[in-house]
Order: sequence, then C-alpha cells, then structure tokens
Amino acid sequence: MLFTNKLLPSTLPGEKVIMELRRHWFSFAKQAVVYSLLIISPLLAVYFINEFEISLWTHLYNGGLTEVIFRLMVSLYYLGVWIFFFHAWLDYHLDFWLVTNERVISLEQKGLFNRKVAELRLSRIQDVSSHVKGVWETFLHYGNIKIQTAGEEAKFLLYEIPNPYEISERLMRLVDDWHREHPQTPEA
Amino acid sequence: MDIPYTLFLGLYFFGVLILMIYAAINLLHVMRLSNLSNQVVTVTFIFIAGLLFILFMSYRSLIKIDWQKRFNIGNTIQSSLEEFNPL
Repeated sequence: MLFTNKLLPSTLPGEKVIMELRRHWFSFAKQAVVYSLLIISPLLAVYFINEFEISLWTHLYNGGLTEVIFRLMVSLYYLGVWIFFFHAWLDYHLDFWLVTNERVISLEQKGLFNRKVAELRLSRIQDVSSHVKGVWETFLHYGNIKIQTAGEEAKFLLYEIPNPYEISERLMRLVDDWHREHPQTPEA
Repeated sequence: MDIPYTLFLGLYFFGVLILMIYAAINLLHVMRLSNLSNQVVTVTFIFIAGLLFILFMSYRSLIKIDWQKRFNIGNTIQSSLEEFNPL
C-alpha cells in the first residue's frame, strides 16, 4: 500500500493518537549543513580559481584523458551527494514515535534496509526520565526520553525529542490515566 | 596499449546505475512508509527535480567529449610526467 495516510499500522479498540513525536529539526539541520557545503564548495572553488586566474583549466580541459575523467567524476560526485542528502532527510523523517492512549510505538529507520518497529503498552511503563545534554540541546530545548519498562526491552529510548520535560510529564499523566481507567488490570 | 574513452563512460554509467537504484529504493521507502503530507511532497519534488537537473547538466557536459578517441596509456604516463615534473 502506498501513502496509506495512516499513522497507526493497526489500532486497538478505543485507541486514539495523543502525540506524534519526531526528532528535532536541528538533528537534520546539522547534516544538511554538511551536505550543503559539499554541494557549494566545488562551485566556490571554481569561482576563486577564475577570480585568481589560476591556469588550472588549461591543464584540465585539454581535450584529453584528464578532461574526460574530471567531467565524469564531477557528475558522479554531485549525483552521489544529492542522493545521500535525500537519504539523510528520509532517515530523519522516518524516525518517529506515536503515543496513544494505550501504547507507545517506536518506528525507527536505521539504514536503507533496516527498520525497527517496537511497541510498549502503557501498562508496562514504570518510570519516565528526560535528559537534555549539550549546548545546542539546551538552547533549542530538545533531548532524550528514557522509559523504564517491565517488558522485554527494559529501556525504551526516544531521542532528540523537542520539549522532553513536557513530553515526559505528559507521558506519565497518560500512564496514570490508563491505570485509573483499568484499575483491575495487573501490571506485567 | 590503446584504451577507448568509452571504457570510462561505461564505468560512469555503472556508477550512475548504482546511484539510481539507491535513489529508487529511497523513493520506495517514502511511498511505503510515510504519510502523504505537504513536506513529503515538497521534499520529494525538490529531490527529483534536482536529480533531473544534475543528469541534464551531466549530459550537456559529457556531450562535448569525443568518445571515439582512444589514448595510449604509455604515452599518457610519459607526457603527464613531463608536464608535472617539478624538476
């Protein structure tokens, strides 16, 4: 199915999405700056070579083998940088966490052929902690949220989330609400 | 030994093929795993437009080369050493 437009792969009875959490835009911006430099720097090099009239072009564009290889390499370089730039955005975009009134679902793209989907029921959450470490993280208010569970995966990690303190507080309130609505259900 | 320039063109096309397959897999991931939102449509459009632009500029650059030419590897090494010899 293409573009299913469904956030949840399958819903439990009475389940609704409370929060859709994505990584902070700055985590992609750092990579975007690097890729932008990779795209712009050869163009700047051409400008400065022309500006200072360095006779590099007469050696390169001599109609011989160096010109052939140079043109082919430049083409492959820009194709590669552009495609990997898109892949970096896709890697950022396909990482997200869904918090519903029943569970927390983690969808992480770890590479081209590596996607991890994990689910954590609110009933299994024991503790939620948030951590903001670093200069950029402090000024831009993003960090990691660690969820301590009683399940197979002892710690559930949501990383580079905006406003982690507010989100973890909201998550704990959701857990409390769930236990209030299901008072007889024993914790696993 | 005479080596045709088309050998390098063949290697180039092989590299482009690998990159195109990589790009196609990324586009497939976009279609299968993401929601149809303005951001997704915009970024995908920019990516495809940029890709076509790079391919077009590559075509314009490579069309200027006479691919029927051949080069002799021995003569090329000799003339390169003469040209770049700091002594």
